[in-house]
Amino acid sequence: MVKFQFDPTKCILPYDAKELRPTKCLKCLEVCPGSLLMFRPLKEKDENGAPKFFEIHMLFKAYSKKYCPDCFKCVEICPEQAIKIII
Amino acid sequence: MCKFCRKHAKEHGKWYLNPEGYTEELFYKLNLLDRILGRKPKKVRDAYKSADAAWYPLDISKQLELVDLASKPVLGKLVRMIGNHIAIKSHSGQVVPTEDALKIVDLSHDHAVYPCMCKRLFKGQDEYKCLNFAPITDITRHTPRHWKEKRLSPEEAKAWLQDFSDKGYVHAVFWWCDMPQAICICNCDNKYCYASRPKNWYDITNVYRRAEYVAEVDPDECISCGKCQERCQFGAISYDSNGRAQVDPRICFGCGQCRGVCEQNALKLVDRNTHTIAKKIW
Repeated sequence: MVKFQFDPTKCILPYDAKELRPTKCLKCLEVCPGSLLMFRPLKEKDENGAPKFFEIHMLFKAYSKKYCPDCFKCVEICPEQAIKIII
Repeated sequence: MCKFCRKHAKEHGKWYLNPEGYTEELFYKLNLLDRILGRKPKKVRDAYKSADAAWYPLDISKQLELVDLASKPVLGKLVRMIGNHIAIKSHSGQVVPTEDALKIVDLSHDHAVYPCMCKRLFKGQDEYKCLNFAPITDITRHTPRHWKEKRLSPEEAKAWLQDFSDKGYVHAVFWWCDMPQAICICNCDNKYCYASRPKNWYDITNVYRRAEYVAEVDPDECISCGKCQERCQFGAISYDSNGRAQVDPRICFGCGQCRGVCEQNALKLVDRNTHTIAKKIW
């Protein structure tokens, strides 16, 4: 299984109220050839109940060995070095 | 005939062509919001304004993580059984060819397009790909802070569907919580779709069912251009030793998008129920 580690202290994804989702920077999502990465809200919420911050998460972990091509594009593109992939 | 059609189609042939599936009366009769929210709201719109439903599109990772359990050897079998059982009753979809998608536009009203949730979550982009109709659009109109939408006339909706068909996206009609209430037509790119991936990767089959059709090639007309193979999102088309295209009915979802690129009109859709191999594969 591929181990995906994301450090929310290095990469902060704030909620964009206009777009109704986080908009910065999500470059890792764009480059993932298997579309295995997604954003998900952290627990902290604002007065409207909207999530304040998000984190990057890898889905379909059990099959990540099959669908993650080990390209490390997400690691390379992250400007904050917040992503680690352990194989 | 699929079990949904047997139960819900009546004289209309297919369940999603029954006009009863698009009425507000059915929506209230099925108590859909009660099931979604776990309680009975006084007014539908008030219920939807509540926070528990409002932020749902942003946090579906927990449900998707459960899908991972299907990969376990013994537990996986149980998860697939439960998943398939829940999927029939809850949020699920069925592939439809463009001509049936256009008929659905005629049957429904109050059309609006929304950004595809799958592409939003997995790509971080808003692409207006999901065509919803009443009563969902009536609800979301009153919750503008949670939903971005573009209203469309039926003619615009049809043109918009045709445009996605030209691009090769797969139309799928989705219901919510219970059959036969149809709520939207998604135009899916399998790479991002979180309905088709549990089906194709984890064998949770009822999440995303095949169409009532299956594609067939006329080998005499095929000129081996390779365009249909390139277009097929499911990988159902290959070439035989004579260089003629062939469709694997066990893989084909019957979306019919391969027909759009065939200049020879060598591809056609046939009724899945009459196909010797495909009739048992949904």
